[in-house]
Amino acid sequence: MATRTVGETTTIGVRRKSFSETYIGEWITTVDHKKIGLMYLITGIFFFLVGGMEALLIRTQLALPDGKVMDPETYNQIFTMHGTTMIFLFVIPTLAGFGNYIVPLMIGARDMAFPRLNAFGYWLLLFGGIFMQSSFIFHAAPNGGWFMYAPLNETAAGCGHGFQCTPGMNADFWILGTTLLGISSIAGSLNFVVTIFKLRAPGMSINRMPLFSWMILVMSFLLLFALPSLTVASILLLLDRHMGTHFYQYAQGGDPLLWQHLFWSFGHPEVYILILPAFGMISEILPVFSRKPIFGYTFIAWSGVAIGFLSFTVWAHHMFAVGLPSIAQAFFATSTTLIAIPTAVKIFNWIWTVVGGKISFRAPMLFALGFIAMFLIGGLNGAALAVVPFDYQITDSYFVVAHIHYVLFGGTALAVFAGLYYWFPKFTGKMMNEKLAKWHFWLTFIGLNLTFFPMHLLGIFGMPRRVYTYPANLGWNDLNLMASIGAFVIGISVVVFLINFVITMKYGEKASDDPWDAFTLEWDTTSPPKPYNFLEIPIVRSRRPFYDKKYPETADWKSVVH
Amino acid sequence: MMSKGIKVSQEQDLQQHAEVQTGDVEQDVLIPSTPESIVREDGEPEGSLQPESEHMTDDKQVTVVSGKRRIKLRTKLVNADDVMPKPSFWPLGLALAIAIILYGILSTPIIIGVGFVLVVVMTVGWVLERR
Repeated sequence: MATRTVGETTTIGVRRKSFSETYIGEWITTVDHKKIGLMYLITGIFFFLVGGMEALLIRTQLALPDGKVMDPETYNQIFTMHGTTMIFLFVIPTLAGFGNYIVPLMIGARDMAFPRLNAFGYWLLLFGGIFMQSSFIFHAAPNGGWFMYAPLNETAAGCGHGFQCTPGMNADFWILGTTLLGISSIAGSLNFVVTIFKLRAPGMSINRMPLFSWMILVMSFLLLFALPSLTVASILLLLDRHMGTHFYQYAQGGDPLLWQHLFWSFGHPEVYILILPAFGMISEILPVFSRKPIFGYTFIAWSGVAIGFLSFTVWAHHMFAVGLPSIAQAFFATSTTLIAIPTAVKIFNWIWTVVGGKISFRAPMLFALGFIAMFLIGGLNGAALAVVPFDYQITDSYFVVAHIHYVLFGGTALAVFAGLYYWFPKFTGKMMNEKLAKWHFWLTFIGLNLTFFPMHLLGIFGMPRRVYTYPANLGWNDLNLMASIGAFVIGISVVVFLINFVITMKYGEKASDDPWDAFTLEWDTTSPPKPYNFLEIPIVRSRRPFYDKKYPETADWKSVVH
Repeated sequence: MMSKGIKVSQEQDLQQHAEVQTGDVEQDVLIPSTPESIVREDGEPEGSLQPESEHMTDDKQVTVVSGKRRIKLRTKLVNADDVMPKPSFWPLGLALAIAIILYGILSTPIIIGVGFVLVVVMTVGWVLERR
């Protein structure tokens, strides 16, 4: 069959373009993993801007005591949508975007295993995002926090005890939207698992697979096993709200804690779903910019698997304050402490990858090193939260807000930017401006510490999370102002990133196919790659197949048996 | 190592097919298919397991080392358009139909009905689409 081209002249006349050959039609009907990956990334970054604007509104409200920027109900909607947007519509899509674009290239495949299912997953995500955000148009944005605790999310009728609870469609938008996004994630995860197991290039055993692909594989299994819990919880809640059931209503014989158990048995694996692919990206970037193979490949890969298993055993550390039995507290405190071990193994290996290397401090490396430092803080204050008596003191305070942001912004978001700068030449064939990229890094690094570090102290000084304002006499004023200034510094850093993106797309320097002298297969093709990825499916003989090809005299397979 | 797999004439046929087009029309891109058969040769002495070739276009059969085994992969040249998945509208349509059902749940059963009809149409279209 001939390759079809637009406006092709044949002996029987001019063939009309089909819809899928127009510029818009090409994107709407595409099943190419690279285009879908880019659509995920663009959508994720768009929602990052939406979630970021919501964060700035929150910090503006809290910058000074007795803030009057918005009323309490609007504040509830904004902080709920900030968390929901950042977790479900920024981090997950962005990581899925990297996975979609990079994994098939990394493992030497021509596409994902199920290309149309892949497209379906993306469109579900987009419509799920639009569905969620459209709640603002109906003045019914979700307002019960990103965790939607029962019975606060019940309707007025089911709430009991004279509480107002959550009448209206607010919680319904959240329930249905997250269900839609859950289906999208299931579709994507199935695709990743099958692609990684079935489409690896000849010679690429599981033990030679790049670590980013390893972490995407673990993330996919976590999604497949964790999401059903959220879906069940949401459906039970929907039934409570509209069909007269009482699953979460204490007065009617239900159990409000059931929601917390179901939600967090999804919610804590979710935290690792959000961070494991970031671990994978860092494990790809550090060796390239240190000019060394990754230190302790096997430990990094299998510690990811260990984290995956352990992540299902820690959920109730979010619930120490609800009055769990002592034995349960002891179990969940122990398992939470235990999960720090494989995480520390990774940090140790990353540090030893860098030590003794010829380090190049380009933008991806700066973000990767920043990730290690910030994630370390997020891990340490997380370990502190595993100590039950300490947790009693600071639960539901700003200390917890500091912890989650050091993990998800200091960790995942920095890794996302590291990945964007690293793979941008592959995506577009252009190099991002290095000077602006470094400005972006330093503004982000300073801004995030200015914003989130004071929150530790605010939590210890007793400031509860989710309050929409506070009186001036509690000693929280300066720290809140500092956090708000930091948030605007982060905002400026994002503007610098966007300027860099626009300038690069318009005037950017052309990138070679392998601008970083990298090690893995995605660089062994054109930038951007052809639709079929590789003219020849590469043959793999070590963990650094492209390095072997470029440097045959020192090829890994000659000296190392994997 | 020389070709033992696909016959050369088959490759020439494919190349001639590509060369039929002229002018501004893009030529077909011929790519090696995913290896269609794997011949395992067990029992080789471990020390002698060295790859004989890295290339798949010159030779249609290549040998790689996997663990303690020598594996031969047979492949052939095929048209890129034939192996790459075709564009499809149905994934978008089905996702949109599901989103309409959700709006229906929040508003009126009529919209739920419209959504269900669309889900059926899109699913049937997806299943029946020629690949």
